[in-house]
Amino acid sequence: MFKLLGAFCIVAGCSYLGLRIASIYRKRTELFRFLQNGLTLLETEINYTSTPLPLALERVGQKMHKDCQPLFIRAATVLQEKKGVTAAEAWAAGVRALGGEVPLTKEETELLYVFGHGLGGSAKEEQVKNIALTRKQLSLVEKVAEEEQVKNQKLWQYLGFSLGAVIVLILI
Amino acid sequence: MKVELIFQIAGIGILTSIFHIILKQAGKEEYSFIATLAGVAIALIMVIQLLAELLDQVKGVFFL
Repeated sequence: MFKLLGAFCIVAGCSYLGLRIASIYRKRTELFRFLQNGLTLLETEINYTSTPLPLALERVGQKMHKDCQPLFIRAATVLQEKKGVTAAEAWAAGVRALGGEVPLTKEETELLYVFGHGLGGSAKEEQVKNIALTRKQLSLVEKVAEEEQVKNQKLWQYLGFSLGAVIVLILI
Repeated sequence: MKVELIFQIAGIGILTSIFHIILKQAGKEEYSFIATLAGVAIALIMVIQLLAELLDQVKGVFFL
């Protein structure tokens, strides 16, 4: 009886881990899609309503999906709370907060950091250009992430369960 | 003779083949090879004691 219970626990645990890893791939694809939406919203805030950056970031953050929220909300709070912080530093803090939620590769973080350097420091037109450029790059990153998702999501779902089954078989 | 062992090895064989297919479909040929090799090694570890017993018995039959 205990053996059976243990076997069930091992299989369930391994399956859960597999599903968890598989969901990371899905989350990454979604994140890049949401980030593009977020940048479009930010562009509107900057271009048409000329909202100050902390407020614009906060507004965009409130409209965003919760996976993407830490980036904008954290950047907005850092900008509002600390005096003498540049927009790039606040954005970098946001990127770090985002990296804690969803794993990002070095190139992706670098891309977001570079976007931060152009934020809030130049004329409206320049910022809009910067946003458009970053959006284009993000769409490329999204494509790569989608390919990875197609390749790896099913793999990890099956692999988790199979690994649990193998462990149980060896232990029994 | 332990019958469970045969089923156990059969199960490991099936799961190893599943690993192989999944990893190959995902384009990770090198890992699929390693998984197969690991499956074979695990099965061999299970069998090797019985093989030693068999060898001892054969030796005993011929008074070696």
